[in-house]
Amino acid sequence: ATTWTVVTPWPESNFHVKNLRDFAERVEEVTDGEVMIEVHAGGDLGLRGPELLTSVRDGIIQGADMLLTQQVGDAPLLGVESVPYLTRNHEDAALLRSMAWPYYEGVAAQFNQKFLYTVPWPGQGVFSKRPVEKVDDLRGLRLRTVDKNGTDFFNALGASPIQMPWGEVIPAFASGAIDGVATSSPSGVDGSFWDFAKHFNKLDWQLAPDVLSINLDAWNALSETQRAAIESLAAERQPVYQQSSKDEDDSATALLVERGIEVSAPDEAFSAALSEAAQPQWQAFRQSAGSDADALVKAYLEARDQ
Amino acid sequence: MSEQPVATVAPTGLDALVRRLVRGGNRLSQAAAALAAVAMASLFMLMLAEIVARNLYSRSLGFSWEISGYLLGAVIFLGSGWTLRNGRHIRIMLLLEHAGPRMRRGLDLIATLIAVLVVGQLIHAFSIMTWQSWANGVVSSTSEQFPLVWPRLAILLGLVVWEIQLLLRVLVLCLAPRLLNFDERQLETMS
Amino acid sequence: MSAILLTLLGCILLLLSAGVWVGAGLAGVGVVLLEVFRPMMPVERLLSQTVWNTVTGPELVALPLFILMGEILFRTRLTKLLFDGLAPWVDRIPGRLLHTNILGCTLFAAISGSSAATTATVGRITSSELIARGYDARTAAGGLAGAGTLGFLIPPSTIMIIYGVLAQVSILKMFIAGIIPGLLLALCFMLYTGANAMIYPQRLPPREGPRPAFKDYVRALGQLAPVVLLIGFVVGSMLGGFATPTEAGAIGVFGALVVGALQRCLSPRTLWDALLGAAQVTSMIGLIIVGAVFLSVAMGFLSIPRTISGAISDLGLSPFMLILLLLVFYILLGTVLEGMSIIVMTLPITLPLVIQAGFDPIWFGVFLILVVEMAQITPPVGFNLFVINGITGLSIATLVRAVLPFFVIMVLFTLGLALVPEIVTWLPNRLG
Ligand code: NA
Ligand code: NA
Repeated sequence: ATTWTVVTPWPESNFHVKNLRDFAERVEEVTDGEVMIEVHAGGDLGLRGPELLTSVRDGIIQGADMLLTQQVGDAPLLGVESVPYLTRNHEDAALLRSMAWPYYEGVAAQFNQKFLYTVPWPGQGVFSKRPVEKVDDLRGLRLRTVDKNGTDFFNALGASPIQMPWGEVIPAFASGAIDGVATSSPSGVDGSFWDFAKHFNKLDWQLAPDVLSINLDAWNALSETQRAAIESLAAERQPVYQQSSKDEDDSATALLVERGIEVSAPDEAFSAALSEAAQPQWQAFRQSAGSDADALVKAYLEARDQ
Repeated sequence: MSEQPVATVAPTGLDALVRRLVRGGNRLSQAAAALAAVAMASLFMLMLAEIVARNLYSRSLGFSWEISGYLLGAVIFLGSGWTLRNGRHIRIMLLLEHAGPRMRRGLDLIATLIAVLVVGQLIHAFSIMTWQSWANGVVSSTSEQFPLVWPRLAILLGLVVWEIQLLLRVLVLCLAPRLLNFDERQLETMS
Repeated sequence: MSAILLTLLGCILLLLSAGVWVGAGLAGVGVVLLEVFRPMMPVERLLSQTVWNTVTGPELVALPLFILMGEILFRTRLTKLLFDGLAPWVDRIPGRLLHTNILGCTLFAAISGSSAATTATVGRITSSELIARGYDARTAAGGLAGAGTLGFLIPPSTIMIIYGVLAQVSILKMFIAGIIPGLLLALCFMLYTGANAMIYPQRLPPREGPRPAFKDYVRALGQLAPVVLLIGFVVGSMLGGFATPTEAGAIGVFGALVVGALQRCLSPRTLWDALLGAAQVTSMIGLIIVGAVFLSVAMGFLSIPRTISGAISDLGLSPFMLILLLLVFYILLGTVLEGMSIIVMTLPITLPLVIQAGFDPIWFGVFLILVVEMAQITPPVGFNLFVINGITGLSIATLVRAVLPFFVIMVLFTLGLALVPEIVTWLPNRLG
C-alpha cells in the first residue's frame, strides 16, 4: 500500500480539514486500502502556507490542502479569484472558478503536481467596533488586511489598512490598536471576535480558494485504475465540499449573531462604490500576472457580461 | 587544562601560518557580526517606525513585519561565526570538562567535525533554496512581493562564515592545539 | 516505533554529550532520523524550508527586541537602583535579594510573551549583581531558571495564542486564566526560596549594617521608580492600544534608551556593544530554536507524538489518572521537544480525550502551558538552562540540580490544579 503525507495549515476543527479527512477515508475505500492519506493539520510539520506549492513540487510531502492566494509569490496567476470584487456574487464566483480551472491545471503541471479539487473559503467581510454601512464609515478605519489586494482595495476606499501577523491581531483588536479586521466569518469565530467587535459587514469583497494538490511523481506511481478511481471521487465530492463552505459560512454567521455581533450586507450604493474602487486592481492584475492571467480575466468578463 | 597564555608560546612556522589564518577568520566573523548588529538596529527602528506611523498617521508601513523577519534571520546567522569564536554558542561541557587533555582534544575534534557536517548540510540546503529563488524570481506572497533571494543570500553568507570558523577550529585542534589551551571565554577580551 | 525512539535518544545523548553545539546537534539528529527512516524524502529541502520558516516568522521577532532591551539596561545604572530599592523591602524576608529574580521575572512576564526572552532579559540584569553582592551563584541561577518560565503563563503569551486558535477557545479568556495560576506559582517559588534560605543561611551574604529605617523605605521607593515607570510604560503601550505584544519589545528598547540617556550611561561605544551583545545572544538562542524545531518536525514526520498519544487514548482511564499519565507523557516529550511543537503535534488527540473526561478546554490550556514551562528546564533540551548557561557560565549539570526543586514545585502545582480546577477557571468565567 502507498501512504501519502498530506499537509494543511488549518486547525483540526476547520471545515477544510474535515473535508480533507473525509476525502482521505473515501480514497482508502475506493482503492481497497491501497492508497492511504495521512493528514497533518494545524501546521504540525512546520509548513505553514506560502511554501506548500514548492513543498509538494519538491516531494517533501506528497500533497497539501493549500490556500491559493498564499502561492502567488511562485505563481501569480493563482491569485485570480482573489482580485477584489471581480466576482460580485455566487454565480460570478462559480463562473470564474470553472473558467480558471484549466489554467490552474497548467500551473499545477508546471510545478510537478496535480490539483484534485478546489473549495473556496467563505467570502471576506469587515469586523469592526463601529458599524460599516457606507463608504464614509470606512474613512480612517484602522483595518487589518492580509495581502496587497486588501491593502490597495481598502486604501482606495479611504480606510487605513494595517498589516500585522495573525498572532498580534487579537491583542491589538482587544486594546484598540486596530479598529477592524477584514476576514471571513469562520476566522471571526476562530478568533472569538465577539470579545472585541460589535459589527460584521459581509462585503464578500474577496474569494480565497483552497485546492487539494498531489505531487505528480506520487500520482504517477499509482496504477491507472487507482488514478481513475481517485479522480472520479474528487469530481464527485467537489460539489459537496463546496456546499460545506456555504454551510460553514451560514453556521459561523449564525454563531456570530448568537454571540451578539450585528451582521449586515452592503446595499446597492455601497456595492457600486466597491466595484469602482476595485477597477485599478483589475488592471494591475492583468498587467502583472502574465499573459495567461490577462486572457483569463478578459474571457471571464466577456462571459459574465453577456 | 593548561592556562598558558598564547603570547609566551614561541611561534614555529606552522604556528605562524595557523595564527594568520585564525586571525583572518576572526576578522571575517567580526565583520559578519557587525552586519548582524546593524540588522539588529534596523529591526528595532523598523518596529518603532511602524508604531509611530500607525498611531500618529493611521498608516501601516506595510513592510515592517515582513522585513523584521528577514532581519532576524540575518541576525541569527550572520552573528553565528563570531558567537562561536567567542565560545558563546551553547554546548554541553560535561564530558569535555572531565576528560584529560588528549581525550578532550579528541572529543572536541569529533564534536567540531560533526558540526562541520551539519553546517555543511545547511549550506547545501540553503544554496539550493537561494539559487531557486534567484532562478525562478521567487517573491514573497505578501503585499510587498519582496525578492526572497536577498534575505536567503544573507543567511547563506552567515552559514558560510560559520563554517569557515568551524573549519579553522578543526585546523587549530589538529595542528596547533596550544592555541586553544585556554578557556574560550577569555578570547572575548582579546582582539 | 521503538527502533525510531532508541535511535532518537541514542543520537541525542551521543551528539550532545560529545560537546556538539546544541543547535547543530539537534538539527543533525533530525537529519539522521529522516535519512534513516524516510529514505525517499528530500531532507535538504525540508531543512532549508523549516529553518527559513522558523527564523523569518513573526513569532520570534519579539525575542531580539527584548534581548536588546536587556543588553541596554545592563549597561545603565537601573540594575543597581533596582537592587538598592528592593533591599530594604525584602530585608526581613528570608532569602532577601534572591527574590529579585522571581519578582523581576513576574513583572517582566507581564510585558514579554516568551519565557526565553524573560529569562534572558532578567538574567542579564540580575545575575552578575546577585553574585557581586555575595549570593550563591547556583541558588540564584535556580530561581532564575524556574521563575523565567513564567513568561508563558502570565499574559501576554505567544503559546496561549497558538493554543487558543487550535483549541477554539477565546484567547482573551486564556490570557485571563493565566493570571491567578501565574501569581500563585510565583508565590510558591518565593516560599521555597525563603525556606531554602532559612535552611542554608550560608548561601546568602551576611547582613550588613542596621535594619532599614523609615527613611530607607522612602528612599527605596524613589530608587524603584525608574523600573516601575519603565514596565508601566511598556504595559501601558499595550493596554492603551499603541503597540501590539511584539511591538512592545520595541517600546521596551526605546524605554531602555531613555533610561540610559537620562542616567548619562550611553555612549556610541556602549550602544554598539549592546547591539553586538544582543546579536550574539540572539544568534545563540536562535540556533537552538532552529535545531529544536527541525528535530520536532522530523519527529512529526515519523508520527512519534501522535502514536504515543493515540496509545494513551486507548487505555480508557479515570479523569485524574488520565491527567497524571498525560503529565508524565508531556514531561517526557518536553525533555527533547520544543514547547510550541509539543502542543501542535499532540493537541488533536489529547484535547478531545481531556474534554471527554470532563475538563474545561481553558483549564487544559493552562495545564499545557505549565508542561511547556517544565520543558524549558528539563535536560537534555531545556531553553532556560541554555540561556542561563550562556549568561552565567554555570554548567548545564549544575543548573539542572539547581532548578530541580522548582521543577518539583511545578509538577505539584499542576497536580493541584487538576484537583482544584477552579483556580484556573474562576476568573475567566467571572469576567467572561
Ligand atoms: Na508573558
Ligand atoms: Na526540556
